[in-house]
This record gives sequence, C-alpha cells and structure tokens, in this order.
Amino acid sequence: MRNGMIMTGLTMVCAAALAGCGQVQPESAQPSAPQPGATVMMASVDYPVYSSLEEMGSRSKVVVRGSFVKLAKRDTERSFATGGDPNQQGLPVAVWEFEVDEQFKGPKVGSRIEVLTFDLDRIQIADEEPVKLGAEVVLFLGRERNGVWARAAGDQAVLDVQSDGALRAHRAADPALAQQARKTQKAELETLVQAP
Amino acid sequence: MSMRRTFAVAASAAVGASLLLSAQVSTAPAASAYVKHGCKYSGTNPTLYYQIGSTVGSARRTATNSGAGRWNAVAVPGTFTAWSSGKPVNVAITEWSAADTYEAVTSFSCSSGLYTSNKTTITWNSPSPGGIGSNTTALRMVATHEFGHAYGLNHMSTTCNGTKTVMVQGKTKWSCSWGTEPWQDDINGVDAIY
Repeated sequence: MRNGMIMTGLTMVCAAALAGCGQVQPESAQPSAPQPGATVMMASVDYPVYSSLEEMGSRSKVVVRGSFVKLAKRDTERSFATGGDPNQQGLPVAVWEFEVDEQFKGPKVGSRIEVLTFDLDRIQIADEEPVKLGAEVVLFLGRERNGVWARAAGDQAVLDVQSDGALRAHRAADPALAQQARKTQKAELETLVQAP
Repeated sequence: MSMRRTFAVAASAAVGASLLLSAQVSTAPAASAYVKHGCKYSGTNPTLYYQIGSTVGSARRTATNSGAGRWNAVAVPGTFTAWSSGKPVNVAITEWSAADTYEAVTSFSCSSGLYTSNKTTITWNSPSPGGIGSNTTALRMVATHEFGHAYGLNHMSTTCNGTKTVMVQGKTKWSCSWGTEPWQDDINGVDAIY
C-alpha cells in the first residue's frame, strides 16, 4: 500500500512544474495532473531527530506560534546556501510569509517573518507535509539566511496547535517527541523551550 | 502465517504455553520492514561510480568512502566504486552550507521507476545542524544511510530494541550499540530492489 502511495505520488508532479522557478503560483495551486512516464524530482532528506521538545528547543534559535499567510516566492537552495560548487543550484524551495502571534524563545522577531521549506509542488519528499495556510502552528526555527528562517528539523519542527490548545507533531521521527507534544499545551511551551 | 498458527496450536496442546512461545520464535522468519522509495538504478547488479566533488571536506570525504565500503562489505547486489576518468558518475557527492537544517540529502529525478541518467546526488550540509561534529562513526553511518537512499531505500522507524536498520533517521543508528551497519533488514531491502 505504501509503495502504491509512493507511485501515485510519483505521477503527481510533472517535469513542466520544474520549470516554474521564480514564478509565484496561486496559493491554492495543486500539483499538476498525473502524466504517464513523467520525470519526477524526488529527495530523501535527513534531518536531526530530537527526542523531546526541550532538546529541539535547545537546538532552535527562535520558537514562535502563528500561521503561514502566503507564498512569497519560489527559488532554489543556492540563494540561501554558502560554499560548495557555485554552479550547484540545489533543490527547489519555497519562501512563505508567516504571521507571528507569540514568541517563546530567541531574539525578538517581527510580526511577520519569512520561512523556508522545500517546494513540494516541484519536488516530492516523503516526510514532508504541504504548508497549510491559515492553520495555527508552532515553529522551531534553526537557521536564518538572508532574512529567511529555516525550520530546526524539517517537518518535525512544525507542531499543529489543536482547538483545545494541545500540540500535534507533523512528522516526529522519534515517537517520544510525538507523545510529549500530545500532552503539551501551547501555554507550556515557553518554559520547555527556554531550558538550557 | 497460517502454517505457523497450525504449528502453534499443536505445540500448545502437546507441551504447554511456554514451549509454544519458544517454538514460535525459532520458526518465525526474519521480519522485513524495509521501505522502498520507488526509484532505482538500472540493472540487477550495477557497478555504481561515486564522484566526490572538490568542495567536500576531509571529514565527509572519509565518511563517504567508509559508507560506500560498508555496503561493499556485505553481500548485496551492486558495488560502489570511486569514480575514475572515463567512467559515468552514478552518485555525485557534494557539500555546502545550506540554509535548511538537514544533515544530508539524497536527490534524484525518476522516470518509470528508474533514475534519470542513472544518477543520484548526495549533498552534505555543514556545519552539522544536529551537532554531529567530528563524530566519525556518526558521519560514516550518515554516509551509509545516504547510499541506502541511492540504492532505493526510504526511511524506517525503529527503536533501540526494534529492527536494526541504517535507514532510521537521526542518532538511533549510532547510539544504540547495534554494531556495524548495514544490518540484515537493509540487506533484505537492497536484495528486494535489485
């Protein structure tokens, strides 16, 4: 079944989408329709895995609560990378505007920041969920380049805030972190992530 | 499965529950938990040339060679061989400092289940966002993990007491005292792909 899902996903992003770098698509844009025999860009991305919110917090420079507002631009990793082969473009990325409602850790950021993710309209990554505009989330942010923040551990560093205030890990690679998130209220985060 | 259940019922009637448990353990086949990502190299026993780019530092260069060597040390289809002039590049190895916080990424284009140009790319990110530092065992296991992706394996979830696999993300693979990778489930996975 999992293989079937993978193969279905394989057909969801067509080669034409790869040519869309730099063009901002409508926010509701969905991956292109399946095309038999299409070439699909894929990646397996290996982030650090954290066992607790405290550990992930200690590796994060900034922790905020808020929501993704809109897609700002599409680009490639090269625009935010240093070193390496100057001709290396890396993988397609998306920069999102994120509205900050509350900050739990780190030097004060503005009410609106930019956050980097891989552009799932142009590359298939198994462990990543698409950004949900308007949904309340907590972000653990690890690095900042050119004014754009990157998550501390990919989708593991995105916690959904549920209607009762409890948290839900998107893709915790360590079940202990997922379990802890379920038992944690957003109001408790400041204490947890400030731990040294 | 049904044969195992039949045997279990007979054993239970004859010698009791405690013997039943041991019989089940001894006759159960090894669990296969590997996951394929859906794309692979062409051929059934490919020679795969990996080229380490000039921007790759010495620590990750050493780790890359060691990781390739770990796969070559076990009985799986395919061989990872250091690139030499005139050979194709099947795995391009690069290193830079990405904004994103991955340790490494394996990327490729896929068409009809095969890598386009029969090639994948492994990109190291330094400095390590997760604090690997100069831990040579950890770096080697990350390299072995990335070559596992190049073979066609996807991530696995496990614990220290679960299935040993180099395809688990993060520090589990070097902090659980499992010994030297790759492990049987990894081997089964590559066998299944090729």
